[in-house]
Amino acid sequence: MKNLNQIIKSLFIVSSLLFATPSLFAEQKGVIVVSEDVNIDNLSKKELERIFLGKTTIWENGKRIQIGLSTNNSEKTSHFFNDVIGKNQRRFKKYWLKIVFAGYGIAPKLFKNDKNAINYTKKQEGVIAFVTTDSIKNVQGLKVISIDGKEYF
Amino acid sequence: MRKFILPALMLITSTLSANWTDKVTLNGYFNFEFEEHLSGFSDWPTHEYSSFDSDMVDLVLNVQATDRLRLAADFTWEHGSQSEVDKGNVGYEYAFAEYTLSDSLRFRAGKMFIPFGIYNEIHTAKPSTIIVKEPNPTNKMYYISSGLESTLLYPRWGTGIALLGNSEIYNIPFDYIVQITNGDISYGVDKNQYDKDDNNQKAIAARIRMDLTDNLQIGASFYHDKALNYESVYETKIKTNSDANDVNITSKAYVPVGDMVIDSQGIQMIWHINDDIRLEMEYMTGTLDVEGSSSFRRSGFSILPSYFVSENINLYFLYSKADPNHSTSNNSVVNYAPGVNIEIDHNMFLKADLYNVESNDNNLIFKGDSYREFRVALAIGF
Repeated sequence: MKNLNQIIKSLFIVSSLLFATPSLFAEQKGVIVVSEDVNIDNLSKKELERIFLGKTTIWENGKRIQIGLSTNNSEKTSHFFNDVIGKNQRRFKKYWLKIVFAGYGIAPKLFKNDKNAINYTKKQEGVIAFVTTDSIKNVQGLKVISIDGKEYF
Repeated sequence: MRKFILPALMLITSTLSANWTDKVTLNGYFNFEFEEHLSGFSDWPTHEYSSFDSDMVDLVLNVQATDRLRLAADFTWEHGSQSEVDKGNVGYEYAFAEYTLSDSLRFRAGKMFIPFGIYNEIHTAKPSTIIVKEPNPTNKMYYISSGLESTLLYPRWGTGIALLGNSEIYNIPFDYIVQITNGDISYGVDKNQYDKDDNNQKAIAARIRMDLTDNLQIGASFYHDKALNYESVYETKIKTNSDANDVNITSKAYVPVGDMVIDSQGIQMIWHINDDIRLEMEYMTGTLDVEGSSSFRRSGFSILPSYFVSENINLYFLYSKADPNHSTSNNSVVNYAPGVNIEIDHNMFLKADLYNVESNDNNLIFKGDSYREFRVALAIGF
């Protein structure tokens, strides 16, 4: 009986800790980041879609747009494709195969983890990238932009 | 002094290298095929009996020279290219410079695919297509008929300039391209239409595609060319050699016998009914007017429904029909091919179909015969 009480007590402490430190287990969120030289804070969903489909290729400051995509979190990535870009990942991939092979543009760079996507955004000029992370704020060399006023997906 | 030069050189080269690699992107594709003639008509040379085809490897190079200037080239090695034994084909599908004034106005110069219909610009890029090979009526007229009836609706490539871009009309996104290229001179003459030539005529091609919704795209294409139709003849000239003897020298010469006007139009539709079901349709028609010879209209269409039964397995059914000459009755060819496309790994596709050809009695190649093939392809994009 004493052991059972101890187990219940331990479970209570552990679950209290879990609730008290949500960031430890927080769900990753999808965010759009841009290089520091990109002078925008907000894009509409339509503008973002045009960029990721290679239809808008030049920023207002004349710099070429480079696209990065982290596929670290398949659920969030798939949400990004379906709900933000309006094409599922399979269709998006086929779309870009045609664009690149027919000579109409340069494909987005795909990254298997957020770190590489973030480094790419920091290092290059004119980058816009989709990453899945909850600790993107205050990272030097890039900024989070909102889409239709929302920072997270 | 030396101890400063080396680090300085290393720094310069590493900077150059970093800049260079940032500007260059390399992609490409590979395709390998197997075909087996199963039954029916076999009296023409493209029939394969359990044979492999090292179909192609292509490298697609993009150099982003400046923010607005891009150089693009697609180098191809087809059918096991081996110059030592004069086999296969080596070339480039396109190589052009593209300058972006704005997204609605870009300018291109160089060798390009003719932007007609769904398939021509991706006809070699097998990983980007669902099917094993593009439908014959879209431009493989030489698999439909022979003689003048096998003349393409438009050439594969052209050298010239183009304007292209994308924009919106009444909130409907569209893209367009208008291209002016050297007139085609490939009929009966051994000259190079990608080089400067003596053909004053220029060909014009144009296409517009509109996204009526996120899932429905329609488009229209146009091609016009006035080529010279040549006849090859053998000429014999008498020449006096160094011993003061007359000798006969025979050489091949090309005699222009008249104009050859090609006009082609096409419409297309790609409809993603939902995430798994897709329907693609294309119709092409056009006239071929050969001075002093014949003038006729031809047409063809293809329908391609496809369905993802799982995330990686796509079933399809390709149906196409072509009438190579409307002036002749009962000469059509029908192709149909149930098939499957399986994505085995990232951008690695295994395709297989059962390809059927049926013809009417007056068709110049098949004369009412039919045949069936089993085709498999392994297409990889990178």
